[in-house]
Amino acid sequence: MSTAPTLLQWQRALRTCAMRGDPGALLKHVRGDATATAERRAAIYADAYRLRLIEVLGNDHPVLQASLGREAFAALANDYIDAHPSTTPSVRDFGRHFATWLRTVHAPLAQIELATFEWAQGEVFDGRDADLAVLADLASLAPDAWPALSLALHPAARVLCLRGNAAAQVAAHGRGEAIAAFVDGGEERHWLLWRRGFDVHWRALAVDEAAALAVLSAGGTFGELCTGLAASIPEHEVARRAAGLLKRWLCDELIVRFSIQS
Amino acid sequence: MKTGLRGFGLGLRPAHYQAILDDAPAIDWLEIVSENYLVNGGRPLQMLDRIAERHPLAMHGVSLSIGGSDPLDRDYLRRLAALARRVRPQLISDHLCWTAIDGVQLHDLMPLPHTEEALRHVAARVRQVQDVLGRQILLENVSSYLRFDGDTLSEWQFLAALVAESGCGLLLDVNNVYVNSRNHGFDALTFLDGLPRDGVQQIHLAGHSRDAGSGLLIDTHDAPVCDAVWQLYGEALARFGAVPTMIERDDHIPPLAELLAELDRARSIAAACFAEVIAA
Repeated sequence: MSTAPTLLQWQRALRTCAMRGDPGALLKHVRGDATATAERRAAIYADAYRLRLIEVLGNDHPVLQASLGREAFAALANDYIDAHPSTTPSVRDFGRHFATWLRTVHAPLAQIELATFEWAQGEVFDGRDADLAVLADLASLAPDAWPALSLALHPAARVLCLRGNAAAQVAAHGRGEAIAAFVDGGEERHWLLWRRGFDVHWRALAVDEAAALAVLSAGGTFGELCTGLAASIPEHEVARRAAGLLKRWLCDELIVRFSIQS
Repeated sequence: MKTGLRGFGLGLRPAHYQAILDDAPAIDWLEIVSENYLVNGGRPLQMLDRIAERHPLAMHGVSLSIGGSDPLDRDYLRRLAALARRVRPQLISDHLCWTAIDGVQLHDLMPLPHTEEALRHVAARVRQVQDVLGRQILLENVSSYLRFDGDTLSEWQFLAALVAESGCGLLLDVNNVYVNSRNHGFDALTFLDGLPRDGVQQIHLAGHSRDAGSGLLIDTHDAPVCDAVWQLYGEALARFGAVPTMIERDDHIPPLAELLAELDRARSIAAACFAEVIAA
C-alpha cells in the first residue's frame, strides 16, 4: 500500500479525476470490490462532473441547445467546462463567461448572439430588485427641476447589441415553434431586455432611444438626454420625444428612482 | 422535540411555487436549497418571501465545502447569513463533504476520508461556521461511490465523533445510508446504531437510481422513495424519535400531489412506529 495521502492530496487527486477523467493518483488510495472496480467508482465522479455542468449550461441556454442538438451542444459545453472551471459557490454563475468564450474560440455569430441573449434573459430574471418610479412622482416636479433630473434604469435591465435574429429565435422557441435559421442583419441593433413583474420582456430599440438609455445608464440627466436627442431630431420635437420615451419607460417599469442633481 | 420544526415537509422546488401558494397543501414545513436564493432579486426571492410568510423553512446548502482544504468562503457565508436573516429558518444545514479545491468548484458532494485528520479539520471548520452564523448547523451524511483505503473510522463513527467535537447536529439522509450500505457493503442498521440518539435533528428521504455499468446505486433524487428506504426510515424513527422528516426530489419532479402522497406514507410509518412504542 502507498503512503497515506493528506486530506489536501486526497482532494486534489479526486479533483483531477473529476475534472480531467484521470484517476491515476486517486487509484493508489481506492480499492475496488465485488460490486465495482476502483476505476468504475472513480468514473462516477468524472461523469457526474461533466453531466451536471452540461445540464446547467443547457438550462441557461435552452434555445442554443435546441438549435445545435444535444450532442453538439454537449461537445461545445465540454470545451467551455475545460476553459472556464466554475469558481463560484452558486452553479447559477457557471455560464457567465460562455458567450464571451464563444467569441474567443471564433464560434459562429449565431451561437455567440444566442448565448448572449439567453444569458441576459437569466440576468434580467433574477437581477436586483428596486423601487419603481411612477408617473405621479414626475407630475409633482417643478418645471425648472427637469433638466437636472437624474433617472436610473432598473438594475435588472440589459441593453444588448446584436446583428442577428436571436430575439426571434428565442420567441419562436418559447411558442413551441421551430427555431428559424440565423439571419445576419449586417448592422448592429440595440435590444432592451427588462423585467416587468416576474416576466422577462424584450424589444428592439430605435437609435435615439438606445442613445437616450445609454445617457441614463451613464448617470446622465434628463437635460443631457434631451441634448442627445437634439442631435438626431429637430429641436422642436425633442421635448415631445423625451416625454414619450419617459412615459413608456415608466409604464414598462424601467425607471427606479429619480433625484435632483445639485 | 430538538428543533423548532415539527412534522413532515418537502423540498421547495420552483415547479410547485404556485400550488403551494394557491392550494395550502398539508405540509408542515419546507426546505429550500440555499444557493437557489443567493440571487439578487426577481421571482425566486419574491416567491420565497411569500412562502416564508405561510410555512416554517429550513435552509439546506450544497456549497459550504465544510471538509474542503480551501479557506472557508467568507463571502458565501455572509450571503448565507443574509438569507437566513431574510427567511428566518428553523434549521440551517449542508453536507458532510467538500465541494471546492484550489478555488475550483466541482458542484458535487465529494467524499471525505474518514480519518482523524479529516475529523479535526471538519470539526474546527464547523465551529467557525457556527460562530459566523451564530447558531448550530446540521450536516448531512452523503452518498458516496468510493472510499479511502486508509480510512481509520467508519462513516458512522466519523459522524458521531464530529457531533461530539463540533456541536453540530445531524441531518440523517436515510436514502444515503441505504445507498452507501449497498455501495460499500455494510449493515445499514449498524450505521443507525452508531449515531448519537440526540444528534439527529432532521431526516431526508429520497429516491436513487442504479448505474448500469457497475450496479452502484446513485443518489439521483429522481424517483420515489423505494421500499427498502421506507423500511430503514421506520428503523431510524425507532432509534431517534419523532424527527422532522421530508421528501427530496430534484429531477423528474412530479405534480405536488404525488409528493404529498409520499409524505403521507412517511406519516403512516411514523404513526405506526410510535403506536408500537406507546403500546409497549
